[in-house]
Amino acid sequence: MSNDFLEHRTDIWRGRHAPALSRQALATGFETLDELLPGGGWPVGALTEILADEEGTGALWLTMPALARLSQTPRWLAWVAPPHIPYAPALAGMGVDLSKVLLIRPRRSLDRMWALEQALRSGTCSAVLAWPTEADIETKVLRRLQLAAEAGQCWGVLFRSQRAARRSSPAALRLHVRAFLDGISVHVLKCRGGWTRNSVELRLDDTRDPGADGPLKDH
Amino acid sequence: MASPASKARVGSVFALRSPLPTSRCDPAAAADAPAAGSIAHEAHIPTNLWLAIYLFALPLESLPQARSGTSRSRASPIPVVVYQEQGRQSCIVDRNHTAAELGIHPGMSLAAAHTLAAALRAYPRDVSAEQQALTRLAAWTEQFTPKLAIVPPHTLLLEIAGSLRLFHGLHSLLESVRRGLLELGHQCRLAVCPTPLGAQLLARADGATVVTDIKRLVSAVGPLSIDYLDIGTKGLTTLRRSGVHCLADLFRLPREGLASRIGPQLPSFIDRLLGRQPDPMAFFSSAKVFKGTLALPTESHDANVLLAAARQLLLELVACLRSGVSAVSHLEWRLTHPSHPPTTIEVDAVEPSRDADILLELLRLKLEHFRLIGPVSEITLATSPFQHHAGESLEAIRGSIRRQEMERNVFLQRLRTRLGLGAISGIRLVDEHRPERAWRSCPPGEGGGGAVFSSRPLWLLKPPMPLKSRNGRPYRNGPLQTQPDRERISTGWWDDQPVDRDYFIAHGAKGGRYWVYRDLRHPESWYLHGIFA
Repeated sequence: MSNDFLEHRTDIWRGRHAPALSRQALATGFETLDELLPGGGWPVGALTEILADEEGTGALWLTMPALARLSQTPRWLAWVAPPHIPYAPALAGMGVDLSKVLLIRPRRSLDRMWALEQALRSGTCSAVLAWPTEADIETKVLRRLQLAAEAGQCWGVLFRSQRAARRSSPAALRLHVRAFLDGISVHVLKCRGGWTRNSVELRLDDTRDPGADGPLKDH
Repeated sequence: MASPASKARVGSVFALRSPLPTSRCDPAAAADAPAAGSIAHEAHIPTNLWLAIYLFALPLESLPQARSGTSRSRASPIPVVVYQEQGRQSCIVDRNHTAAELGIHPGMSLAAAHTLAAALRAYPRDVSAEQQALTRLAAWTEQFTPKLAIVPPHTLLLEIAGSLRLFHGLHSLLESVRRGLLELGHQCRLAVCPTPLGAQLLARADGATVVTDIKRLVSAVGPLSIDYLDIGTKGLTTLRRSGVHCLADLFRLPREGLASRIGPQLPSFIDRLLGRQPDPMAFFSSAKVFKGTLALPTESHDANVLLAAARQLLLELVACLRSGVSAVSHLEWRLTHPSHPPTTIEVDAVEPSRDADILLELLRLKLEHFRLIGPVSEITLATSPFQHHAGESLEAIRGSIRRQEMERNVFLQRLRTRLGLGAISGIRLVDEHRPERAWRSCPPGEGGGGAVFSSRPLWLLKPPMPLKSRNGRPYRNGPLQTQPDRERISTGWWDDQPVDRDYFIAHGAKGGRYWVYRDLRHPESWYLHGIFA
């Protein structure tokens, strides 16, 4: 087995001397957060987990600038089993092209995981957002999803409760968000290809256009 | 004027006022004004150019020929009028030239018309004949462009930017339309404008107006009377009281005020009129469909045999689609069994397609989950009406687009097959102030439209969740701190679901941000309506 093979594995921990993975990153729209993340943004072709204490703490808001940019590309933004109605006026107000929004609401737990994997793997979604219950998720399932996101070259985002922090996960990036009065604090729990366990505070009026030259950066 | 035909308006076109406006604004002002834009400038042709054909005499022209003797009877010596019941009165909707010379005009009561012309011939209006005539004429205008829309009751809209070269320029195109319609016995007023609504208004107001430069649009439509807006007498009265008489006055007013006083559609109407917002049209196609049947060589259960026959039919279909510039989105396959009732399989493509491979793949996916009740002897394909297909010029780069289209279709088909049709949707905006109605679900890929509000939460709760209240404050796992700014939404009095609410942003104990409201009809009752997720 040559080293080349290992070079292309994305699920092997390489410590702080990680070679430049030919992985694409997606600008988050928050300069201070981009600086914290390896590759300078959300990892494409991988899973991101965003953990929150409760619903109104800005976890979804954090993804909006990147989703707005992705909605300018031809692929779907898939929402698998969202807990409430994604509110069209708010999405449009944040610059998301609604014609790319695809809502998938399976009834059974088994179907939820199936739909999530299909969406990640299909190659027709630029981003897949999902709200799995803790019962839905085992580490083995997460590994499959991680591979599916790689195959579909899509940004997979799982929104989970902060309790999930205790369990390990193969996701490339895990963040914990907390709200304070006019902003949120983002704490990096884990990021592949980086060494940081840092925090950054973002204010609610902080969003900016993640660069006119397109959301994708080659790292 | 509440004409029955006005109910049949095309949904995507904000309705203009019905056929023959009983304009109380100074007609001279409306007629003179567009003169500024009347000079054609063909130097710069925008990507979209709309020709509105306003068939102002359709009520008269739709009378059976025996009565009116074609539209040439406009010049006949007998005064002829068409009337319509309105409440207890009969009102004139159209009249011929002789009747007009006797002083009979639309809006006048039939009784009054009889006193002016003793030999008057009066006929009731035939709305369905008008609709049929309009549809026939739409099919006739397909020779000028494949992109055309019907705007009931009396207007056709043609997108002509792509047709100018073929018809040797704008003026020769307009001349062909006018002459052709006259030969068919129809008079018309034509106007050309970069936006569909602009063209409609100009054609109805005056005709013969050509605006090709969007920069001249405001000055061209500004002087038109607000009577052309379909906002009800009440809205018109409100506007007139505020000193608004023409569209230019309207453009100067703040959007928020217009939305709350007249209705949320008005600002969006203005945006579409002036081309600040796209105005998608439901294009007309003269209802071509495909139907073909193929007998299998032998009766068979085998999916591969079925698919081979299906492919044959699809190739025939595609040949038909290519001869026009068309595509289909809905196919119905019917499998005939020698000893059972037939099986029907419906297939929907995400976007209209003309690609045999994609359409075949969709059928194959359906068949995978199908248990045939018996051998099949014959297979029939029927399609929904053909739709306009966007641009053949893309053919060169179709390789990758086609693969994407294929993948999108197959992906959605797979989801639908396992999860059911209702589990997959898109979302779109609706012009509405009531937050729960400012959106609706739609087929995937069709989202868009409507007004955007700032400061709305990403999650909406349906229905709103009642909150406990303690000392007049909302409570949810602890007291919620409301912020001082409130937004009052008080609307919907015109239908049966009025709302009167004060909305606040509230903070929970753990920092969560919520969108809550107090119902002003039941003070002290608080609801959670959204979450700033």
